Amino acid sequence: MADKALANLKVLDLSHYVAGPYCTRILAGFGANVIKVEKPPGGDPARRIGPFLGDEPGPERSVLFLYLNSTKKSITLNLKSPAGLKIMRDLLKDADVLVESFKPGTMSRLGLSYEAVRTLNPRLVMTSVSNFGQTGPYRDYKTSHLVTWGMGIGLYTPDGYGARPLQMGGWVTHYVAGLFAAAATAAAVFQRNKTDNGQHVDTSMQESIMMMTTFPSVVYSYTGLVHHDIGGKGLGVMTTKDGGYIGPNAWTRPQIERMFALLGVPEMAQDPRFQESTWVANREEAKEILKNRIKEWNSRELFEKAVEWNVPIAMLPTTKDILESPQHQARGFFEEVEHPVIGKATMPGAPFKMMLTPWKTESPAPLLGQHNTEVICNGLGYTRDDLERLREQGVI
Amino acid sequence: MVVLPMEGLRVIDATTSWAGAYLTNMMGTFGAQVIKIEAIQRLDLWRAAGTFLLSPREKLWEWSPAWNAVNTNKLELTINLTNPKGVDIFKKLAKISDVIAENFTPRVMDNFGLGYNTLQQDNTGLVMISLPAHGGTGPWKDLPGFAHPIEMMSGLAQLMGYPDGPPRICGTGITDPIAGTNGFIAVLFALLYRQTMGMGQHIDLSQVEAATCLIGDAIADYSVNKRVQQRQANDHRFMAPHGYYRCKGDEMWVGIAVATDSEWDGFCRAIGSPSWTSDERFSTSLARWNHRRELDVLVEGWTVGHDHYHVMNMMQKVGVAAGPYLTSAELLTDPHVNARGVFQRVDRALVGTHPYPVPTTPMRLSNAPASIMRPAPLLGEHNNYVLGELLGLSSTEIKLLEDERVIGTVPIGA
Repeated sequence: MADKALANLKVLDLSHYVAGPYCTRILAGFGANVIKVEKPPGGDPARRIGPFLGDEPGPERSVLFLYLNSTKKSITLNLKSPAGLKIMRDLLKDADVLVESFKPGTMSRLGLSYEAVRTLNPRLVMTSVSNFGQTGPYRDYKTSHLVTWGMGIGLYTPDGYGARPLQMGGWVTHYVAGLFAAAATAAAVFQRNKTDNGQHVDTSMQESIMMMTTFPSVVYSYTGLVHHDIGGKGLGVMTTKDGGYIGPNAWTRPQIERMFALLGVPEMAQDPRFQESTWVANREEAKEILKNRIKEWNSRELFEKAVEWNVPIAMLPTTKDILESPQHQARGFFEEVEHPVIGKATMPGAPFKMMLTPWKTESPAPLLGQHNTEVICNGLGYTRDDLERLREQGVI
Repeated sequence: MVVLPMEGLRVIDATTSWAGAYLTNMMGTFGAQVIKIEAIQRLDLWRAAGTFLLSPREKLWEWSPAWNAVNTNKLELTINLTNPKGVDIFKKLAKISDVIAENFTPRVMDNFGLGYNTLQQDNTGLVMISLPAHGGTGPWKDLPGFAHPIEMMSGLAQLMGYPDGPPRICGTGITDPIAGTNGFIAVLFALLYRQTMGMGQHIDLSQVEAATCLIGDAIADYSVNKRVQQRQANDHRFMAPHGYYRCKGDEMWVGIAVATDSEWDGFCRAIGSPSWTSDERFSTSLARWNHRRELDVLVEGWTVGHDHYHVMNMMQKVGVAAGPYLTSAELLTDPHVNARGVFQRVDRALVGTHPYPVPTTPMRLSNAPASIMRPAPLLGEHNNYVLGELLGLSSTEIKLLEDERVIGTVPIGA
């Protein structure tokens, strides 16, 4: 049996929506024992966010929740009740990591501030993921994916001056915050293992997305040029004969020359307009020529030719194309889970491949409170009768 | 005294561009000794990033704002890996290092004789991460790729843009730091494993896969529902108004997202309840969503007369999510960004003092206050330290390597 990188790491996950759960998804996939603590009666609000199986809502039908919570266990706990808080505090005593994504201040009101949990367990790493961090003037501000994207990424648009900015689709701001939360947690545990001293980790979603492009601000400091003056050297996206899309992205000179040859315009390599020193200034003219060439190809054919010629020309796959990608299939990137309500679902597995300690999905996303008995009875010594009483009291 | 989490670790950064450089930048900021490797025969191409915006000047390779931003807290060694002496130096350094990061296409390190299996023979605890565009195996493994093609191939681009227009990329090269951050996680996991088991390991990170994981829900949606998710521009599944609206000033925008009826009430009050806000078309959340295009025009009719910070302050006061679309200049002066100390002003030879992002900013560890302790190194700046102090070469041997151009501080052809 392969080893697990995070074997014996016990994680209590109070987080919800996307960012915190993506953090603990990565920890769980590499072997951590993640116990998701959900608030009764509805649980993680991501259970109420689509897409749903057959577009029909239901707490066990969210595909978003399914993707984010593989391999975790779920218990329900009302932290506002003394009995619920006691269970949480008991669980914290031998946990390694606590992840939470409440609004700053909420954990304190629950009696679970870092100072409070530290007295229970000084080795604990507590990771807080929030919109704007635990300090600063915007600490309590509301935000959304679109708002955070705009406050972090730094207007840097390939659409040029005057164009309305666009958000990136999906939940990217949340996912990126989850990545940093996982990275920070790993660093804090690594330090803890050497010093025996836990610590508090503060991950801000705004700062996470800022790290996705900080150098335009450095460019501004060097040159006085703002965002829309700088643009990229990219050639953008071009349409193919079959209605697909291709992005010609050669960057180094040899790649550029191979791209000209592949597209049947090798003479461009000698054209004085498209030399190393002139290429950027004449990008629009080059684009026109390349666009007309690319229109003659089907996207997949051109891409495969590009693989053969070793030219960085990209396809723009849809989610369907991605699932069918021979590269992903050859690498075993996808995994299939079988969920009791949703049934079979295929989704990305490991974000990276560790040779000695591979990613493993042990189970599909848990049903709400699925592991109450296992964690609370078997783990903490409560009886089945206790559990029944706690259920009736609305604690679980 | 503060001891940073990665103090005592040595990291070789044999990467080019941004992804791997960001990974090692975070490690250096958390206290690892990071040695960046370049060759005077072949500079990191990222040294050209942004330099076309500058007037011609001497030593232009030291002036890339992008390179200088992502290589702080590192030392630098130049070695020519196409020379056997260079390979030998690399091997010696690998023997006394904990982590190696590289992002050549997969065949390159093996061709140099520097594959993981070779290097691990002398250093069983070595952790090595390779982060090529498409990963180290599979039919497309040798296809080179930079940020933009990776963003395209990952599926992110298909979900950005207008429903009736082409897919687009965000333009920032977002997949590089995504890969770098995943790489940081991977290396830390390997180091955690090594803390208990003693063994190092090799990590194969496909930059495309790392990015595709960020739309895993959309992929699972296709798998479960056979639905190909479409581009939505700035729309939200149920919120309206929701978008970036033009504000007073040149290229100034504000993001506004109204989720609930009570937020809508707050929004209306904040803008002085003009008559259109009580229009039937906007009376319920569903009606607002169905008439969102008309709503957008009316909202923008109001925002366009106001400063984008002013709009944020008004909206936040009434509990509505709103924030300025910050320009690259405003990020440096924003009160919250400054209060949290995201940027740090650092002096560097030739270029003077400029603000640089503290690379570990989203990872604030209470026991490890991170900062930029040294600016990005000059080409070959630490050749003497690395070769002399760490590897014990004599000054005569170092001089010989210089003469043979195995090492140097000026690019060949400059």
